[in-house]
Amino acid sequence: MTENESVIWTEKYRPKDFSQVKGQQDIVDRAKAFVESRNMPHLMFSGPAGTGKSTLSLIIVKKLFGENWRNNYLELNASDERGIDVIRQKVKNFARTKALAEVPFKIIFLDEADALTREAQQALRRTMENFTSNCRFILSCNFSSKIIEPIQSRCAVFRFKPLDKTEISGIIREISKIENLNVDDKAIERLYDISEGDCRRIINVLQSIAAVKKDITEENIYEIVSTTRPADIQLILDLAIAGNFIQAREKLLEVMLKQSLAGLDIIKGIQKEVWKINVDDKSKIKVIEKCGEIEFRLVEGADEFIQLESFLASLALLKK
Amino acid sequence: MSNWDVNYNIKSISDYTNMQFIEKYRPKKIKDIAGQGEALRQLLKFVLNKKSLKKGIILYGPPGTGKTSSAYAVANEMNAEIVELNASDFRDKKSIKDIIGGAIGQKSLFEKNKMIIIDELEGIDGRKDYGCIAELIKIVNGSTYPVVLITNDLYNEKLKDLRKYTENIQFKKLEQDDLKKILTRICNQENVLIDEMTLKRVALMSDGDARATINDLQTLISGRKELKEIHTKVLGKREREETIFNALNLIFKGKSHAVVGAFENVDMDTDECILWIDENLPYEYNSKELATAYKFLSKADIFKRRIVRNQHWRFLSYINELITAGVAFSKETDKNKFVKYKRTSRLLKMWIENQTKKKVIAEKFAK
Repeated sequence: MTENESVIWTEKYRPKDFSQVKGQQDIVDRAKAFVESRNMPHLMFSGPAGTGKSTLSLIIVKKLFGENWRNNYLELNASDERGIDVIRQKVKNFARTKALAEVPFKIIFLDEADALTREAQQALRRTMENFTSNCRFILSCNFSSKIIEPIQSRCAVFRFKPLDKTEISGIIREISKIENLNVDDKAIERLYDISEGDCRRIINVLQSIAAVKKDITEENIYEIVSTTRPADIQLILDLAIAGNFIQAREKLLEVMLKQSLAGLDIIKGIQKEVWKINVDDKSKIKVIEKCGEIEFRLVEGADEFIQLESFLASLALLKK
Repeated sequence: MSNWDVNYNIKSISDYTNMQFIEKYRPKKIKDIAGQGEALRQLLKFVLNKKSLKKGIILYGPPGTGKTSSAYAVANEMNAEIVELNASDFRDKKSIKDIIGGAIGQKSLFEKNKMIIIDELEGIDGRKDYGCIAELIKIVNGSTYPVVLITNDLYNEKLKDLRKYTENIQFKKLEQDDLKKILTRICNQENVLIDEMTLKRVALMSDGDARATINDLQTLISGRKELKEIHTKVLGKREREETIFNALNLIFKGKSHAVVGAFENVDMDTDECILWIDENLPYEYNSKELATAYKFLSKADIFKRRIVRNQHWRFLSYINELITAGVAFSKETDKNKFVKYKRTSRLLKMWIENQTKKKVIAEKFAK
C-alpha cells in the first residue's frame, strides 16, 4: 500500500472551503457571511452525526485565522475532562486572554456539548458573555433539548439536517471519480440507504469497499457491509406469512451465515421492508411493534435465532 | 485630519465591527430596557428604600428578559460599584466570604455606593459550591448595600431557604411589540432594510427572549443590506406551533403510510411530540380506536425508557413509527370534522397541583 492509499478518506475528503460543503446550504451561506464581516454571534450547531457540524466549524476557524489558526482555537470534545472545574478554569482562562495576531477574536469549539453536565453548562453562561470581545463559542450537539435554555438564548441556533439523496450521490460520484471507482446507479441507491444521511458513514463504507474492489455493485456492497438484501428479507417474510415456517427459517439461517449478519442487522432490515408486505395497514403497524420488541430483547442479550423464529412464527397469524 | 485622528478612528471602527450585537446593543440605561416597566419600578423602590435593605431581592424570569441588564443599569445610574458573583465563579463558602464579605465589610474610600449582584443562582453546584446558600443568607441579612439575586427558576429546590429572606420580582417574556421595537432600532442603526412581515417573523421566533432575537437578527443581516422573509428560514427556531398542527392533522386524518414522516419538519423532540398527541388524541378518537391508539402511544413511551436504559438510539425509529403510523392506523372512521389542537396543559397542571399540596402539608405542620 502506498502512503497515499493509507489516508483515511473522511480526512482526505473533508471540505476545506465553504463551497465544498455538501448540504446545509443556508447555514453555510450564513457562516460565510460571518467570516466575511469578521463578526459573529456565538453559534450552536445541532443535528445528527455526519452532517457537517465539526467540518463547518473548522472551515470558519481556518478562514478567520489563516495559517496560525491553532493559536487562537481551543477544542474540547467528550473525551476531554469537561466538568464544572474545567469550565470555570481552563475555558474561562482561554476566553479571557487576548487573541494573538491579527484576528478579531478567538474561538472555543465545544463538541458534543449536550454531554456537559447542567452545572457545567451553567458555569459557561457568563463566560460566554463577559469575554465576547476576545472570544466566540461554537457548540455542537445532537439534541438541542439537552442544552439549557440560557445557553441557547446566547447563541444563534442552526439545525443541521441529514444529507438528502442528491447530496449523498454527489459525494459518491465525486469520490469515485478521483479514486477511479465504478459505481453503478443501483449501488448508489443502496449506498444512500445505508448512509441514512450520514456523510462520514458513507465515505467510510466507500473506502472499505474500495479497498477490496474497484467496481462497486449492489452485490459487492452486501458482501462487505453488514446489511441485508431487501429481496432476501421479502422472501423470508412472504414465506413466514404464508405459513411456511420451516422454509422461512432455513432461508433466514442461510442469509445470516452466508453474510455473517447479526440478529440486529436482520431486524433492522425487516423494519425497513414491513411497509411493503402484503397485509393490511393495521397489521403492518403490529409487525413494527413486534420488531421493536424483538430488537429490545436482542439488545438485552436474548438468543438471536430464537427471537427471530418467534417473530417469523407470529407472522402466520396476520390477517391478509 | 491629523495622524492621531486617523488611527483613533480605525481603532474604534475595528472594535465596533467585531462586537457581538448582544453586547453592542445591550441596554445600558434604565430607559433602554424594553417591556419591564413594572419590574423596574419595584427594583428601584427596593434599592432606594433604606428600610428594605435588611433583606435581599430576587429577580426571576426566563432568559433574555433583562434581569442582569436591569441590575447593571440601576447600579450604573446610582453610580454604585458592582460586586458580582456568577456561575462561572467558584462560589463555595470561602470564596463568597472573601469576595462579598470583604466588600460589605468596608466602606468605600469615597463613600461610594455599592451593589452586590449574585447571578445565575440555579447554577450553584451542590458539591463544588458547598455552603453557598447559608453564606448568601448571612450576606442578605447583614449587608448595608442592596443585594440583588438573579435566577431563571425561582422555585428551584436549592433556593427554598434563601427565599424566606427575599422579596421577589418577576421579569416576564417580552411582548411582540417590544421585540419589534428592538429589532427596528438595530436595523436602523445597521442601515438594513426590513419589512413588517419579516420583522414580525423574526420577533415571533424568539418566544419573548430579547437576547435570542438580537442574535437571530445578527445572523440574518450579516453581509446583507436588506432582510426578506425568505432569509429567516435558516434559523433553527421556526414557527413551532404551525408545524406541529400540520403534523397532528396529518396523523389524525391521514390514512397512507406517508404519516411516518409527519414529524420530520417539526422542530421539537420526540418527548414533546408525544405530549401533543396525548393532549389532542381524545378530541379526535373515541372508544375502541382511542384504546388502540393509546396502546401504541404507551408502547412508544416504554421505548423511550429503553433508550435511556440500553443507550440504544435505534429505538427512536420505532417510537416514531408507533406515534405516527400506529396512531393513524388505529382510527375506525374517517375524521372530517375540524379540531382546534391544544398545547399540552398537563405539565402546568401537575406543577400547580404539587405546589398546592406542599402548601397544605406545610400549613398542617405549622399548626
